[in-house]
Amino acid sequence: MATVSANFRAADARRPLIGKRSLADWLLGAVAGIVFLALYAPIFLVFALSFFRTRRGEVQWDSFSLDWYGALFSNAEIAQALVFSLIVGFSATLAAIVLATGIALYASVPQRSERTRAVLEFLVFLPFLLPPIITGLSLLILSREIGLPRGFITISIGHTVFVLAIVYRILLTRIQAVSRNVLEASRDLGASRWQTFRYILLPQLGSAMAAAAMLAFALSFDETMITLFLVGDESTLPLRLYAMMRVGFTPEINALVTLVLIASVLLALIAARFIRGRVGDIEP
Amino acid sequence: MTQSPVDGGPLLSVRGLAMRYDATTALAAVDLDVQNGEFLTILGPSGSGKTTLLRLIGGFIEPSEGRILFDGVDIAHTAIEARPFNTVFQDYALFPHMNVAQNVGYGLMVRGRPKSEIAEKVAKYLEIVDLAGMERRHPAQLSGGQRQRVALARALICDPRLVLLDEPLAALDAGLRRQMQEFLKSIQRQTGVTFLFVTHDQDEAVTLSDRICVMAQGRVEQIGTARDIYYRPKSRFVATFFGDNNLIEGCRVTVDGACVETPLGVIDLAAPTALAGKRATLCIRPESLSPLSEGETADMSIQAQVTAVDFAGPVTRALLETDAGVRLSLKSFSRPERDSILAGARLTIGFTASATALIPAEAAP
Amino acid sequence: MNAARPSPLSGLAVGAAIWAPLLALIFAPLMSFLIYGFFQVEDNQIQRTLSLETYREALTNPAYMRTFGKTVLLALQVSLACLVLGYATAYFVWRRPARWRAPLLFLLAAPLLMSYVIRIYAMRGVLGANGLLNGVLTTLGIVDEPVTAFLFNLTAVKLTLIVILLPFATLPTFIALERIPASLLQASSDLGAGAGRTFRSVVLPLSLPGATVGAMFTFVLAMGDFLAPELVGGIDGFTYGRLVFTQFGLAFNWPLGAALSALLLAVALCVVFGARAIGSARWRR
Repeated sequence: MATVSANFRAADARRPLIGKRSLADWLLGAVAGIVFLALYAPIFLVFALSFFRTRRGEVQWDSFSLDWYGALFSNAEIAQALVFSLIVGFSATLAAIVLATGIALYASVPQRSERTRAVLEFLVFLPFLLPPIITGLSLLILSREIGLPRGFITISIGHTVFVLAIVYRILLTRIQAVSRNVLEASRDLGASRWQTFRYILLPQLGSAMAAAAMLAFALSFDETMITLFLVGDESTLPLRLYAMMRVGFTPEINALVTLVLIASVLLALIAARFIRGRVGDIEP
Repeated sequence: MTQSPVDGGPLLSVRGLAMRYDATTALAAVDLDVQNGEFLTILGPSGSGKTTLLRLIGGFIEPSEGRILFDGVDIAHTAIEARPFNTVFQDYALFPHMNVAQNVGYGLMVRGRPKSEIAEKVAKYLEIVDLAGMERRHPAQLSGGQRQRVALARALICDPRLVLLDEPLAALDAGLRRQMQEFLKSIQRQTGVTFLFVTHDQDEAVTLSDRICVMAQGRVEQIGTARDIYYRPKSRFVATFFGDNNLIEGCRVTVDGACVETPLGVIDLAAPTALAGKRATLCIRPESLSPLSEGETADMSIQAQVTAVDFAGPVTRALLETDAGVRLSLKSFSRPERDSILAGARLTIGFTASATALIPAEAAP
Repeated sequence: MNAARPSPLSGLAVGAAIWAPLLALIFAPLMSFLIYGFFQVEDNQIQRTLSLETYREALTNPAYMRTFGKTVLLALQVSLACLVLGYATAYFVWRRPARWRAPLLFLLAAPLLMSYVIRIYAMRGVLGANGLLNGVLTTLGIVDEPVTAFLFNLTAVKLTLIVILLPFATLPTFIALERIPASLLQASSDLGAGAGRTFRSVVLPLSLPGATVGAMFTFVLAMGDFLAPELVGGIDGFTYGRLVFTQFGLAFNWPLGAALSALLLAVALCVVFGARAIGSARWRR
């Protein structure tokens, strides 16, 4: 409720800015229009090309078919890559959730010094802030040095490290929103630290964990640049796409891309629901 | 300082308990005895250290020094969950994701008690706090007073030896607050559990408590019954913290401690004082002063001029000035037949020696 | 017996469980790659003798430096375009009525969750000789023949990176705009400031730090990117990221790759710390 009224007030405050339409307003609208077009035109093109044929660059609008989807499903390499991507995504997400929960709990202990927290967060955020190429090649070099062969494990580690920052951020925000008194009340009633975590904190973190997991999974599922350094014999889906693209356009890529896009958007929508919708339930 | 222990000594003894954060002292060497079964209120303004004291006893924080003796054992550094005390928090601190029954039964659940026992005791305690039938509600669906009662039931269900209450009524509106005060008092009588209650509200402290511990600036100013605190203040802070009081400066107790010389005359002391031979300030409550009619007598009587009158329905307040130039305030029940309290009128005022109290004089300015 | 706080031993165990993975998976790899820059390659073999030779080569070879300069320029152009376009778009969305804002914001953010490779691929569909852009241009009669100049050159890299990185610029800007207290805007218009005036003296100064931080992030990503240049850049679009990547592929000179990317790391860290300073100076805490 509070946010609704705040939004109304904010909207009213912006009213004077909206006022009469000047040249600047039209210009602004035009720029925004071009940006949205630039963001979505390519995607819609791919979408269209997954259903229609082209002849000399012209889309044949009367050639609707699902042939490319059929071709896609009979492509065993793509199926393998998809399965591998899913496995990597699950592993990296699970690892990142466990690790980030530990780090966020560790960082939110009140007596933790500001300095310790700063160093901790710097390390956590580093792989997200640095160009992926650096994360990729440094993990490649280390894994070679310790004799770890490239493959599932190295890719999972790369993805875990990459998504850690986002998961940590979401979980920390939620942990800080849980009233300290509630945790103290639990201890006061005779619960151990573990019981307090299990019965009080964890249930309140649930929806944040779900949202973080979905985001982490989506990021892992799409990750390409780090993976390129760490890949072994088995290829992930983006890498398979990359390989196919270097060879040239094949129409079934469009079908694959469309499916991946739809799945990504659905996942994002669900994650957004979780992040926004459940907060209200938690705080009375 | 210490109160005489009633049968079998105190339940809890705090000795020299201090809490310091870097440069600031939240609590300075506090001594306090909590008797078994009493309703003891820690009263003080914000920053007086009352909440710090409560949190130290509850085990939420560890003291810089001092001991907390419980059954003769120092528990100052014992883990919070190992202390047989339970707390009612100011913001209730109910578990938002659990329903009323789960909240109340939590203490038993974490101790691994059988489900049937938990259900039985939850029902019993919800009955006590008058919330039967609310088991499935969530905290968000309850009113402030109901949440308060859930928090109370949750704190009582583990049969604690001591219940700590941290300004639990502060968030309630005045009407509900009075209702909850009576409720708390009756629950405490009914269960016989010792209550240690923190508040900044004098009226609340007086209404609820068997004894009051007044704190200011990290120190205990005085411990005693509401009457003690009200009529026998031991410090200037206590004398002025509760309602109006007349403080008459410039008094001196005779060397034998039998009487005190005041600007109002010499008053024979009813009880011995520790201030024999010292400079002192005399305290007397405005309602302890009464206008005398012709022929009436009192231990002490003085002449005074009424300088201002404030008729407030049932009571009339007046500002007086004695011939010696002492300003006094007087409060008495209004009576239609008595109209002697009029601005400009001269009055004879009487009071009894036992209604006065002596506190040490302020250090010379 | 037990203290209210955990015993020192269990505290140590918890600390180890937290720090060990971070040090092993984040800190150690960075250190090992920095050390690799001190090795050399001779006859396709990595020589593990420490010397400054590789770093010297990486930092002084004119060909590498040219590529570096070209890439810095490219990243600057990309981030500047992202700043301007991103700001305009975020401001546009911010000024819509409340019910439009959330869906528009979602449209701005959603591309972030779409695969990088897919978006580059889609850009190829737009920029190619048979692509959307050419189709529009020929249909409108602006050009007679499809233009091949859109793909496989540096311009294509720029356009692609701008489109791909835009969300990183718009979202921080929008967040910065949302944080401007409504009371400030009201106060400004109460005091008689017109829309343009309020924008210049209230909205812009309060939101520019956030927008700048976003643009700096796009700079870092553009600097290190090698996928977009590889897929749409052709020979002309050979960037520093591709140079580094080549060392781990065809060229097989890991020490040189490590030494080259040390420069990239330095630039990225400078930008990260700069962004932190800007971000914390006005807003946070």
